[in-house]
Order: sequence, then C-alpha cells, then structure tokens
Amino acid sequence: MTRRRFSLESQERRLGIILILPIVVLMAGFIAYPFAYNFLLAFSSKHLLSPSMNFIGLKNFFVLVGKSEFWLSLKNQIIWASATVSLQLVLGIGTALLLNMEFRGRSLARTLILIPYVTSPVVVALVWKWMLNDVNGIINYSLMTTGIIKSPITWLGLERWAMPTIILIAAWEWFPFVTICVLARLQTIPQQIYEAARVDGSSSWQSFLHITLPQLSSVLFITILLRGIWMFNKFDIIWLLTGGGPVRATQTLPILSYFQIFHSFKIGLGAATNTFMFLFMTGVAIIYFKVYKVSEEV
Amino acid sequence: MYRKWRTAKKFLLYFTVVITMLFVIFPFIWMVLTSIKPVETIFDMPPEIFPRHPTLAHYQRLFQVTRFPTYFKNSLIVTLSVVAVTILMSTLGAYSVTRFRYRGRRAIAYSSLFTYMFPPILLAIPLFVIMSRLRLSNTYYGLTIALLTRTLPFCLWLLWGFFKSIPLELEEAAMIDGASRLRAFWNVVLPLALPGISAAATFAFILAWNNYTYAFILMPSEEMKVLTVGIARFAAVKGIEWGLIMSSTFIFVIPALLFLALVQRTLIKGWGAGGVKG
Repeated sequence: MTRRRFSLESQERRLGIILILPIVVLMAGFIAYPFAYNFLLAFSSKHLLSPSMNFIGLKNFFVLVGKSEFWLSLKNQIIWASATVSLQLVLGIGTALLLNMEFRGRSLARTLILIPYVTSPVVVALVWKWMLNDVNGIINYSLMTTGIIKSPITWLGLERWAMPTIILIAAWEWFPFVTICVLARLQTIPQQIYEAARVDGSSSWQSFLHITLPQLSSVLFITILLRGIWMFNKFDIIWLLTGGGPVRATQTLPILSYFQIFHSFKIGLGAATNTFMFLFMTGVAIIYFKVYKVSEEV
Repeated sequence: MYRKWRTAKKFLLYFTVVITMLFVIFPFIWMVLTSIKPVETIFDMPPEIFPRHPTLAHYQRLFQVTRFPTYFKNSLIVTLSVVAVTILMSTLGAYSVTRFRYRGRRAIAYSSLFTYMFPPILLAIPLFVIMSRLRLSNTYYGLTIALLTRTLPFCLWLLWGFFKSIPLELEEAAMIDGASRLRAFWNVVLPLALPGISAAATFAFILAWNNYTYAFILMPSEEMKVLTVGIARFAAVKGIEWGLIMSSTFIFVIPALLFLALVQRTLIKGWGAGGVKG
C-alpha cells in the first residue's frame, strides 16, 4: 500500500508539476514581474506615454521626501488606517459576541451582516454620498430633526469632516470581516470554561476579560494584521468618496501616486511613492510581529 | 422577579439585534426606496420614507438612455471568465499540492498568499505599462488576467485546506479497484470538494464583479468600461439623478447577494477552516 503510493507519486510527479504550472506562470508573469518592475520604475525617470526610461538612482525618493504633500499624505494614511481598523475591531468584536448568542433568526442575521463586506466600494460610495447629501440627504435631515445639528453639513466637502466621515464609511463596509473571524473562533471556545467561571462567581464582564479575550488573541492578531495592511493600501473607497480632497484633507499615498502618474505623467515618481509605502508597511508589520512574540512570551 | 429580569434581558437582546441589523442594511433599504420614487418626490423635505407612487421609471431610463447594458455585458464577460479560470486552475493546483510530492509545493501556496498583501495600486501601475506593451489594455483578456492575480492566491489557499481534509485512502481504494487517476479525481475527490469549490467560486465572483481599481486603470475606454467604473462615471456626470444612480447600484448588487445567499454556510465555514486559522 505505502509502496504503491510512493511509486505512484514519483512516477506522476511530472503530472503534479504540470497541474500547478499555470498558476506559477501567471503569478510570475503578472505579480512577481510587475512587482519587480515597480522597483525598477522607482529608480527611473519615465514619462507615462513615452517608452524611454532613464536610470536616475535615488533621485525620485529625494524629490519625494522634499515635498510637504508627501508627508501630509503619509500622515493622513496613518490616521486613516489606524482609525478605521480600530473602529472595525470594536464593531466586529461587538457584533461577533452578539451573533454568538442564542436568538431566533440568528443564521439570517449572520448572513445579513456580511452584506456590506460583499458590496463594491463603488456602490458603498454612491449610497453614502446620497445619504450624506447636504440638502436632501437622510442623514442631515435626521440629525437636524433630532436637534443634533442646526444646519446641514457637507460631510465630504469640508476639510474638518471629510476624514472622519470616510473612516466611518470604511468601518461600516469592512467590519464584517472581523465579525466572521471572531465568530468562527468564539464557536470553538468550550462552554464548560464559562460554566466553571460562573460557578466560581465571576461576572459576565470578568468572563469576557479573562476567558474570551485571551482565547481570541491569536485570531485578533491575524485579523488586525490583515485589516491593517488592506486598509493601509486602500485606493478605491477614498478615491470614490472624496478623490483625496477637499484640499488634500483625505489624500493618502495611493491617491498621491495616482496623481503623480496619471496627472503629472511621472510614472517613476509614482512608483517611488508606492515603493516607499510598501517598505513602510512591511517595516510596521515586522515590528508588529516582534511585539506580539514578546507579549506572548511574557 | 427572576422571570421579569429574564424577559427584560431577552428584550434587550432582540432590541440590540434589530438596531445592529438596521445599521448594516439601512443603506440598502434606502437605495431601493430611492430607486422606486418618482423624480418629483426624491428631493422632498421631509423625505417621504415609503413612496406613495412607486415607479420603475428610473430602471427604464437606465436601460434606454445610459450605457448601463454595455457596462453590464462587459462586467459579466470579465467576471465569468475570471470565475471559470480561477476554479479550473485553483482546483487542479490544490489537487496538485495535496496529492503529489515535489519540491517547493508549500512555498507556492504560501508565497501566492503573501502577494495578497501587496498594495493593489503598486501592482496596477506596472501592470498598466505591461498590458499596454502586450496590447492587452482595454481588452477583456487584460483585465481578466489582472483579476486572476487577485483571485487565484486566496482560492488556491482555500481549496488547499479543503483537499487536505479529503482522505487519500478513498482515492487509493478507487484506484486499486481499477479506476484511473482522472476517474478517481472526478468521481471521488471532486464531489467531496464541491462545497469548497463553490465557496471559492463565490469569492472569485464577488472580487471580480466588485473590483474598481484594476478596471479603472486597465479598462478606461468607454466601450470597454465595466459596471463599477461605468456607474462611478455616470454618477459623476449625472450627479443629481439619484433615482437613476440608485437603480443602477441596486441592479449591480443583486448577483453578489444571490451568490452570498446560496453559499453562505460553506463560505463562513471555509473562512474559518482555510482562510484564517484559529
């Protein structure tokens, strides 16, 4: 039996490689190569529409760090990513705890909660723009009738409100990912632990703090990592809601790089911006891993 | 006293559930309600919640005066191509990494997942240059290939988990009984992997259907625009025709929602098993 399996495998190793080959070729050609090409572009001067490309070393990066809009974009991006991920965590953990309780219609609720997550950023942006409309939007109307605000606010058009607004919308769209990850883990925590704790007289808050949270730590670690990376990299929802405005109030590095390439035609500079962004993110991820490892050991 | 406390607690639970669900789906309810309001009442203040005279005029206009049908066709072609190729390649790939032994098979699965961390905009720019050089910009092929680079890593990973859980002994038994490898794969492995495959198909469908960034950068010409880019574009042009815009977004979300309803259970299970490990 074992021998048969072994001979079968060595005989048909070639078949195995043939079956995986299409994926490998596609990944090499359209991920690895563009990825490497991006670095090449970052060290070059190239006009978007001309084929010629000149190697200019680190010049793009020097130009980049000399511009105040670069630092502003980076700052915006850090605020954007950290705020929206934090909100997603709060909403995600809260709803996961809720959907883990027993109630009628629970499986329907578990499906419904996924809807924002599977909706295109285009749809999300348009629906929220309509609801946030200054004159006829339902949100301004509700806030005014309840007396929270006195006059309508152009949420996406004011420097002061644009960033908080897009942070909230993004949290609404992507928190279900956290819900599902946390919920999947919650279902594997044995009920006996809670019962034992209750017998020992611990309150539900104490149980949450001392049983649930520690059990969730590994799933939260990976969820924060993924959401952090994905939100940091976001281009579409910001572009669709504000286009980086008003007056760069919501401009992040992906938006900046888009302008550099498709408005100023400096593809090398745009590639340098994205390269910086990628290296920055990788650095933060490495630190995050190290910190987690240390806190695990303690 | 105790019973009262329990009733109050139950009430609180249902109240919280209803509020949460409203928070999640209200924008969609509002979208549908807006799309069936006649033009004259859309801007009413105070807003009319349920339209007294519902109309399908916006939907009619959508198909008659806008390029919505073209965009829809383009989206459908690209999305179905992405789903078909993703399922074919990732099923064979997952079968390969779980059933054969060769160097680097783990590395392939892991490194492909790692690419999922790359910023889309970072890859979109060089892809734009590469696709124009290959004369694939503004073609279905170009966008399909670009989207495959997003769907394949996750689907391969997901199916890897599913295929690992199918015992080798079943196939071996079939093969000892005289079935060819292909037959064992077709009759034994595939039926067992079906829940995983349907989850992967859903994931690929939703990702391809919803994608904006790649489509925006790689398919900008008017004839080739897909729905996401097309809708965003005419929303910018017809900025105040909210009834029309909401009817387009509603039609847009229907396929994804149908898919979600169909495979909801496996998706959640697969998410736990293959996507993110405890």
